[in-house]
Amino acid sequence: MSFEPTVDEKAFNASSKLIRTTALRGTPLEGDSCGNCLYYLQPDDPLAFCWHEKFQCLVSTSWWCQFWAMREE
Amino acid sequence: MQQCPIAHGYHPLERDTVLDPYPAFNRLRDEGPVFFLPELDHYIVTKYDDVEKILLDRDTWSAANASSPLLPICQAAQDVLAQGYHRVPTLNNSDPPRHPLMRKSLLSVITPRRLNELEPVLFAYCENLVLGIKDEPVIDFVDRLAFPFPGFAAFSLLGFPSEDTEMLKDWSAKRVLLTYGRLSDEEQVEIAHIICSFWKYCVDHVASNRANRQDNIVSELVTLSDAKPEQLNDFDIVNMVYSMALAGHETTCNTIGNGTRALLTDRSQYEALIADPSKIPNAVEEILRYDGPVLNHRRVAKIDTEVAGVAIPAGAKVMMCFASADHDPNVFENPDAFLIERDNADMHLAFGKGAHFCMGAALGRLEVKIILDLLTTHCPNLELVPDQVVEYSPNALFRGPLAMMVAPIGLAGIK
Repeated sequence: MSFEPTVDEKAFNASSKLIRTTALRGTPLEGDSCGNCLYYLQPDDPLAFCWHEKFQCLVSTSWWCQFWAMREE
Repeated sequence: MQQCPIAHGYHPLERDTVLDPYPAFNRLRDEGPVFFLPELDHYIVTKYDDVEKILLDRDTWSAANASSPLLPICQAAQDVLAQGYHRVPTLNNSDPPRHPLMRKSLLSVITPRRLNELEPVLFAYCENLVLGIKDEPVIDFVDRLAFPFPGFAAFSLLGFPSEDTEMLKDWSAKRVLLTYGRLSDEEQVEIAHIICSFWKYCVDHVASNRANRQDNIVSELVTLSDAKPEQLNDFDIVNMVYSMALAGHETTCNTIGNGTRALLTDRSQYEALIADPSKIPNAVEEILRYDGPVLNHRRVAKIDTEVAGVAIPAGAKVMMCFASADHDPNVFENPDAFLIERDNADMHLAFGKGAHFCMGAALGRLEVKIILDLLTTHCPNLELVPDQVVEYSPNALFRGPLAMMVAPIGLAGIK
């Protein structure tokens, strides 16, 4: 018996566009990542909300996108 | 791998291409999306997917040639530059390990908070400009709006005196021609002297900020270098200032000019913005896609590689055509139509992508948004003067009108 996943096409397209538009990657870039980004709402947590206008969704500390901004000290 | 195709009767500095590059791009994407142009010694890459791949692959592609002269500079001009111009790769033309350090240093001072604080200052300045032209019959839009507003924004951030604006803009235009244009030997020598003056201006400006800290990003960088000398020194800061002294305004000036021309050419789009200003942010993205300020950007191959099946040897230079990629029908439906409500307009590559994504993007977007907001509010009858030939700087990198006549009160008002 094979399993065919049901994919929400609209959500798939939206997330594909988000990944592409932001150059999102699953690993840090040269020491920078969501974990040390201004827009990562809860810096002490491994997963948190990104409040950049392009995201407004959950991200991981180890991800990176081209909108990375330095967290203010 | 395929054999490399050579040339297709395309040259970015030919007059027709300078005036309107898009027909050539459309043809090139179809006939041979990657090809070698011997006159420029570059491989030309025209499709979105290929350009994107290059931008995101720093293991294969170096940015070291991004600001190098497109054509060889004569020996006499080189001798002049050797005396007084000491730029090294720092931002757009550098690679790791230097690039991330420099980028992080600059990002620590060009912050969202600083832009938020700057926004009302920019709005007030631009409002003054727009109110100054709104009742005039005919003006040169570039001279009165597109030129001064981004200059004010960039030079305010950098702390350059306002009385130097005209001189700096003139120097910047000449710098573009030497780096990305085709000049006679005499012209090259003349501009080489200007570049040395420009470099010295930046050196003196950093020294002045070191001696007297002020409220600008140069002083902040100097303060950062005091705190983290292992990360940043004054020579690095001079290089950054020299880079931003051009990139910080030339591109936005072009975007404003290109965008206004597009909005007024298909005036239904301008009227849609007047009716619903909430469409302005997406209109900004569509302007950047449809007729962005940067035509091309360059990389050099670190290893033997290939692009779309075309072999590219190590050391070979590529020219990524952002403007062509942003008209790629594989990504943008009906790409030659200017549609301010296009739902994937923000997928454009006008700001590049990845590690070298333009650090001025937020400021640039803000400026275009402000000026569109003010124009739609105060100049609802704004129209292009018909039957004019809009000229562009003959260079392979930046695209924007040199002058553009508009009627702020509408054409009916001047008849």
